[in-house]
Amino acid sequence: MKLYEKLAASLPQPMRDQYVSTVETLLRTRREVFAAQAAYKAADTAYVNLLPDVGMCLQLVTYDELWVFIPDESRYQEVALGRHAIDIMGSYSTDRDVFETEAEACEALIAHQIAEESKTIAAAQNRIDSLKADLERLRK
Amino acid sequence: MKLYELLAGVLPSDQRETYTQAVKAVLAAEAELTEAHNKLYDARRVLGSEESRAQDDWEHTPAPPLWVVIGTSMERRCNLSMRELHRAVQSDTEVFTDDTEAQMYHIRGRIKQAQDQVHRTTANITSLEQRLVELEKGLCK
Repeated sequence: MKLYEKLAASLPQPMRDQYVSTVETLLRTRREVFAAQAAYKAADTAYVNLLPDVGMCLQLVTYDELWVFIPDESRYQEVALGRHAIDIMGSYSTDRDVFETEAEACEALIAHQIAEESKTIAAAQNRIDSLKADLERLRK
Repeated sequence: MKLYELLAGVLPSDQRETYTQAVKAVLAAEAELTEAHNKLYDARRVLGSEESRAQDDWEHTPAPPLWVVIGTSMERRCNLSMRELHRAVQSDTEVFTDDTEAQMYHIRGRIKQAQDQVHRTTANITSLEQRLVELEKGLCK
């Protein structure tokens, strides 16, 4: 018998069933985390094993112009001007958005800013709706 | 365009697909791991609130003397309230009120450990034998 089953036995219903179900959810989730960690480790090892061959090719390539998007700071940055591809790979995460011209980077930045502002507007609208509902309840 | 797509573009065709797939696999695994961590965080939070509601019941309920399995050993826990037991021992730990049952569980665990050790050693011997055969073949040449 598991300790949580023993502990649950001293609880009244429906708390008992709820407690058992919550502990079992936690244990199942913990197993999922272990499985996800193992899967990540395997995928990362496969990626790392490719790097020596990939690096050989990337050492030979340079970029004259390359712009990298920095979402947290809502800006983009020029990173190339003759930098080697391997150097750029080592400096940024592989899923970072990159652009080969400043115009493309600028367009992406504006789209990002519009999306962020839209989120602010939606949050404010929700708050207004909720306050209106409170007011309506008070009137009644 | 993502950085890995840009980099993949300069690789020879045989490497391009392998590299892209490897990056996608890492990103997908990373996303799944983050999701699993978030689920675990939520589950811990819910359990925490359930446990704080249960504290009163556990505080006033004495726990029976119990055998608790800690790793490969057994410990006797007596004169504790359910609350103290809950704080001292992880909730998915095996516990037994019956001495014989506890000893049987403990012995089964040790048998399993010994069997695993035998399997590992057998695999090592097989691998060493194969290596010896390869070395002997090399000597014959």
